[in-house]
Amino acid sequence: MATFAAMFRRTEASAAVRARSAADVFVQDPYRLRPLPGEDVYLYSKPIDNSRVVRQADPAARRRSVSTVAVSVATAVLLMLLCVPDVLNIVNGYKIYALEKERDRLEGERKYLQLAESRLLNPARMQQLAVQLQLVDPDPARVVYTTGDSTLAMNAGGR
Amino acid sequence: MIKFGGFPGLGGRLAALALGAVLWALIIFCRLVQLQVVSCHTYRLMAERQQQRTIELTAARGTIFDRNGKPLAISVPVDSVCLNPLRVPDRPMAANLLARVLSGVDAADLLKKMDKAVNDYRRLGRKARGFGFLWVKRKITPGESEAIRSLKLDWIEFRQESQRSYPDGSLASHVLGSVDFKERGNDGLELKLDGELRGRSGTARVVADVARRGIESMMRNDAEPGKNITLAIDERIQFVAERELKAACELYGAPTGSVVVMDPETGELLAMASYPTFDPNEPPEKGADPSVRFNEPVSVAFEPGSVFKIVTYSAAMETAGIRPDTPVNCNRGVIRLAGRTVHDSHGGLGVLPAAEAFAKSSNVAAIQVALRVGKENLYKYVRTFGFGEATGIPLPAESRGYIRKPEVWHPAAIASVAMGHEVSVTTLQLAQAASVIANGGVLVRPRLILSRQRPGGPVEKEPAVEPKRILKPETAITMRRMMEGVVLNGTGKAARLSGYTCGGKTGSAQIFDRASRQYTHLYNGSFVGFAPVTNPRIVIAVTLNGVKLFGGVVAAPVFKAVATETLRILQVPKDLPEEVLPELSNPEEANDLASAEGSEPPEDLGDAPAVPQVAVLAPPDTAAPDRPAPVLVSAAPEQVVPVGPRVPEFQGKTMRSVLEESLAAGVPVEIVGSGVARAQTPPAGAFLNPGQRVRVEFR
Repeated sequence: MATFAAMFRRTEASAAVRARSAADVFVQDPYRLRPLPGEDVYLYSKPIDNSRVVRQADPAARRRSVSTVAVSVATAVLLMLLCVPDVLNIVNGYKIYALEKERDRLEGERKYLQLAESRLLNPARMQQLAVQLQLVDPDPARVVYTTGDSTLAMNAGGR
Repeated sequence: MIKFGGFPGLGGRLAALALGAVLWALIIFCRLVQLQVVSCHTYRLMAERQQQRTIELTAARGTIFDRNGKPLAISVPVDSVCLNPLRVPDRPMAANLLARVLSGVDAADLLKKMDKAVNDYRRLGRKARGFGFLWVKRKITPGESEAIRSLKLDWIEFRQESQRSYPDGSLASHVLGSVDFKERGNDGLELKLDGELRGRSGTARVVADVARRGIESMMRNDAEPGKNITLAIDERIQFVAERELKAACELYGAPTGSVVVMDPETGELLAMASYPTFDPNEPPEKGADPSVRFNEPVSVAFEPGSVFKIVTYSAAMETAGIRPDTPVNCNRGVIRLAGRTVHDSHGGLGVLPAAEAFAKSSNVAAIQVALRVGKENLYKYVRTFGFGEATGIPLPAESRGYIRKPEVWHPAAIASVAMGHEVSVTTLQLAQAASVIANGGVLVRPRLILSRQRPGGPVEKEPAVEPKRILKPETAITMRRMMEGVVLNGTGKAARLSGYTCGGKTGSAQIFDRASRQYTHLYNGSFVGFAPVTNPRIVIAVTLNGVKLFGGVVAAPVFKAVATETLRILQVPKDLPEEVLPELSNPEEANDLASAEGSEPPEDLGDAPAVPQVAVLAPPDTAAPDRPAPVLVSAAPEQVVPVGPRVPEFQGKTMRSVLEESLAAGVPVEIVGSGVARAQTPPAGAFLNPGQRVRVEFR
């Protein structure tokens, strides 16, 4: 068995000698492997029997410990709960901001579509297309104006 | 000396440590007080500047719709490109890149601006004007925006702005007007309703993160978007009106013209066209003729000519008991009044029923009728019809027109006013006056706006001005019939519609030339009409200024084309069988020239004019010297000297009796039918002109 103290002492005492002898060995036999660092340190466990040592029960200390932990946890939770509204505010703020952006974008898109539709239905363009497609006005006798009333007689009656 | 646990010397060191700790805590505390209390305001401002930013909530400009909900003017969001020249890593490269993507951006120019900004900053630091910001191009197209964004360059920034678009180009441009670069109205409805269309922009103070994303609004004044305006204009009818007006103006060489289409019952303006037009999408060019932007039907007053006889005859029916069959002596087309001689454009007209004289647009007859009405009454009815005052339409620079008060009329002014000279009116006022006839004698103010609505708000209907009865219903209906006669037998034959009855009145007034201070041989050719006659749905007023032909030739066909399309669009049932109508063969049939001879131009057209040397009269062959001498007329119509035999009463008599009586009286007759005489034209008591016969119908 070697303690750390003994080990260090031995190491300190013979460090120079061992360094020299290792170098000698290396010189003498060039094919021999170099020792690994700390190869000469031997660690082993020293069995200690603590079975006879019994911790004395201290309920007061235990209670203090438990209550301290509980208070700490409760405080932490409380602090976290106090932060929750702020965090939620921030998260919701981001969401609202993003939604507002989205709403503005969609509104702009709707207006663009409205503009595009209006350009496509421009009467001048319609007339140009009608000429290109050789469309003609229908024979007046074939035109019946319907106003959604139940009879044609009613349709013909008023404005 | 403090002793700790019996360790000598420890107390002193601990005391020193404690003192140091206390001092440290004190210093911290003082610093905290300095930060939190003394300099609190400064640091709060710094923090706010860093974390918060104020953003302007722009109010979207309201959309202008036509009556069917089609947008005529709409604002769309567009991107503008800007950058911080100090952040641009390679300025020449950036300038070339941006110039390649953005049309109209010059690379050299942009590079020069960036270099100047950087140099200014280096020289002046933060005092440099507008340091750290440079517009590259404002209001770029969506394609350009897409292209720039795809480059993913962090030194390029975008700002959102608004762009006003007019999807139909020049359609209804004079009504809509236009806006400047900052979307402030500068013409038309855009100008007049600018306050309502613009709304009110708001502000929001937001807490932003490092990426400038908003987290929370600290304070917010919401923007109030502009109101959407719905007009009474129908895009399709407007298109037809502009198309036909342009074609007519180009055909007859008219520099300007106007068309107004109106619903006589409600006063809603279905179309209001002005020629020439402009495209409000394009900003006006420097040095461009501003008159292109004049709203002719609203802002430009002119002498209307014979169209004005509608007022004269209406007043006569109301005040002088004139009926359609009342004989009016046209004096062979010449009348002398207070030293002034007025000629008819048609020669040879003698005594005619008032309806026929109106249909043939006899100036002499109109003067005779006006003399019976009297100048006070005539003036009253001119004003009652809405002339000389603004209609109240929400468009800028509306002309009230002009009519002098009767106290300052010169003795012959009544003759001029009776045939539409010495007054100035707008095409809109003419349409308003014709609506009085079309809707049974009620003056309805023109309405351009149907409703307003703030986005998300309720629809606010535009209140209509209370209609005012100014004519008896029977007078209005009689005038309708007389105006139908103009189209069927008179000067307005070119306006006759296929499948619909219609009525109207032509007008041709000489134009006063300010330079030569004389009336010229160019006319304001007009036509106002309505259709169908029994239940008029539309009133159309057409004016072509500066033409060489008469209103019945140049303006009546425009009425016909616009009315045909409008009635089809409005799905008005036809009240006549379809027929192919003959073309107007002789333009002289439409000669309705209101002679300006001796007229003074209205004050807003010129002052103290010279009396024209020659007025446009009847064609030379009809102005023959073998005519009877002009009848001298004084202010009282009963002093008119008759020129032919008086027509006997034939009604109820047999054919033999009629023939004997006519031979005895020297009155030639035209026999129609057989049996007993039931009707005769001219009526009994009228004076017959030389060459004229009495038509007697037997049944």
